Amino acid sequence: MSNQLALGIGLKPTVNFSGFIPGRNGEALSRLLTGTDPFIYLWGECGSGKTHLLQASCHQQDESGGTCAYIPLAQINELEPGILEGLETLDLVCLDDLGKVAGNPAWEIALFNLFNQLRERDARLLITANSAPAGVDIHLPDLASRLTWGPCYHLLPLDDDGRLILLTQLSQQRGLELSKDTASYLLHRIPRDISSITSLLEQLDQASLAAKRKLTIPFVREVLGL
Amino acid sequence: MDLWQRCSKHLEQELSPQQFNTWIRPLQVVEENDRLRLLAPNRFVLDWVRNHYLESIKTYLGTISPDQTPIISIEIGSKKKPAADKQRNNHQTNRTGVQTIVPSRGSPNIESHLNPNFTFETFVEGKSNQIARAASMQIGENPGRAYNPLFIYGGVGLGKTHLMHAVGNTILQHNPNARVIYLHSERFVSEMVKALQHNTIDQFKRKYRSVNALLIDDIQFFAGKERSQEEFFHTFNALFESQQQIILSSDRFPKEVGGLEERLKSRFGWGLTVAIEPPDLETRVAILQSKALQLKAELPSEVAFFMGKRIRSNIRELEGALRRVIANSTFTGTSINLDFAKNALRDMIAAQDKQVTIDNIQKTVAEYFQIRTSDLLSAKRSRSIARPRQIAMTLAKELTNHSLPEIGTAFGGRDHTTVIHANKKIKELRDSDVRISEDYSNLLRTLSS
Repeated sequence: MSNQLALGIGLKPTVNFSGFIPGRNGEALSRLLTGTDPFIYLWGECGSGKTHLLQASCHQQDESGGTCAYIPLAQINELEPGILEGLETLDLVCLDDLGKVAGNPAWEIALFNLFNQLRERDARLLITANSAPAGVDIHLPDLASRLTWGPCYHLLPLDDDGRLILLTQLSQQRGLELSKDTASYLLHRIPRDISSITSLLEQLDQASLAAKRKLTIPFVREVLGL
Repeated sequence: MDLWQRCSKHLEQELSPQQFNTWIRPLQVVEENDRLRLLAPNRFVLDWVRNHYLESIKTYLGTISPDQTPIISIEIGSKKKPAADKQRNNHQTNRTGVQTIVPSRGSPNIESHLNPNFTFETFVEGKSNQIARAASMQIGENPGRAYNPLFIYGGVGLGKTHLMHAVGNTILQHNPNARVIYLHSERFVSEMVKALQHNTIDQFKRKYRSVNALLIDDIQFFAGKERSQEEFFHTFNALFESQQQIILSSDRFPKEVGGLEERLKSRFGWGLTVAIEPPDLETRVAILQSKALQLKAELPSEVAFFMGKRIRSNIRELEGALRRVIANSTFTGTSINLDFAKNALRDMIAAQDKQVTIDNIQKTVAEYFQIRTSDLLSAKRSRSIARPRQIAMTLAKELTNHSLPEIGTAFGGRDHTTVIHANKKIKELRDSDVRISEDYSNLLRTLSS
């Protein structure tokens, strides 16, 4: 008998703070949850949770009846600096991946204007980048100095305990039963960055559904060819 | 749940979190009987939503409310009141809640853009800003007559903007009906461009030529913008002749501002030109203490001096570090200490995260223990080689995202269980052997700094 095909349906999990594993970033998380700082700068390598925290902040703002926008600056090719105009009328603006527009005069001026206007209106701004303010190559000194105006946090990636929690959390979201033994077995053998963990779990989810089998060690070994 | 909320929930499921947060969340909605007006913050968002999502929004609303499908339109606008004057203005809001024009205190149809927190009381005086502060205070008391124009120049983040706001706030304190406008020169330019586009240039001219005090920040941004300079030249003359106050700021002395017409530069020097220098250590410490007081935090003086010594460049950086230190104290529930200040500075000025590779770890560990990299990969099992190898494997597990089998392979084709064993062994030894613990910390620091 052929394996059953798994349908691509299911509720998409909302990106919120409860889905964020604090790990070594508890203080940054608590500042974002408080939501009182006019400006916070977050930096860290890929997979340290920057995008998640920004989108969770948007979710929180929305839940409390506020207005917000999330701007993925990595998509500079599709966007124009004009997307920043008028954002000061919102309660919260989240700019992801600042480094992508650093050195671009039109974007730097637009960011500078946005910064001033948000400040004038007491609206909040969250910025992420892959390095500290001193390491982002901003050419406009007026903008560079503004980047140091609020608390700055270096986000650290998950350690092994955090990865275990992530694996368990992701499987629960999918309604999968993943024993601690299977989880440690996986973490000892698979690449340990968040996107690999997520995509391997997706693969296991599909396979488990199709084969109607639980995620036992022999089963995951077979599926992932470990 | 109203129609839009249902529609928004639906879109949240349909779109990726990024699309939803970028294009749908910034929209504000006004529901009026049979109409649903979407307000976009700018033209770019408006066009994007219209081109990509408006049809599906209409279709979905038609599905959930087939009998009374609202007419949907999208325009640029906001329901939110401009906050600059929110602490002191009566806002004009139309029946749908959409903000139109917000007056400044006492003066119709003008937004002052003044921040009420920037006053002379909250400005810390030091040698570096004494003259600028004194001149500004005199102008606040006697606008249009003391010094006109006042030209303040100095580096970024030294308090020029604070002083300008303080003058504006003082003028309004004495005369709530005064028409005061603070704005950044970039804004002057963009407003003018819009006025030209919308054929409202006369209105624009009237607005700026009829104020009692015009405070324009960072006039170096006028560089190369001839039309704006021309307009500003006439505004300047009108205000100057009618003895209305003008205050300008720039990052350098008027004559040195590049890209400005000579006639403007010479006018900028007609009144008083004052410099703001970077604050000395004592002033930096005083600034930190004053800000800590405003933020209701207790800042020990040894911490203030430590921060003041290390942050010299600008006041914004002092404030950012201070906010982080206070957050640290709140989070840990302990009073502010030197370690908090060190953490704050490290995160602010640390270099970019280095991508640590297994190769790099092997090289660093081999150098540290004065052995060859090839020894780490060899089958040798003497302790002088095996221990560094175990340390290197543990560091590879700690600092990279490679899987354990990959790490094992990179160390001469070893099994992943060898990596697990090495990791366990080093963990034990770090607790029991001070030397190993030190070696490990030193290597960790070298590799991650």
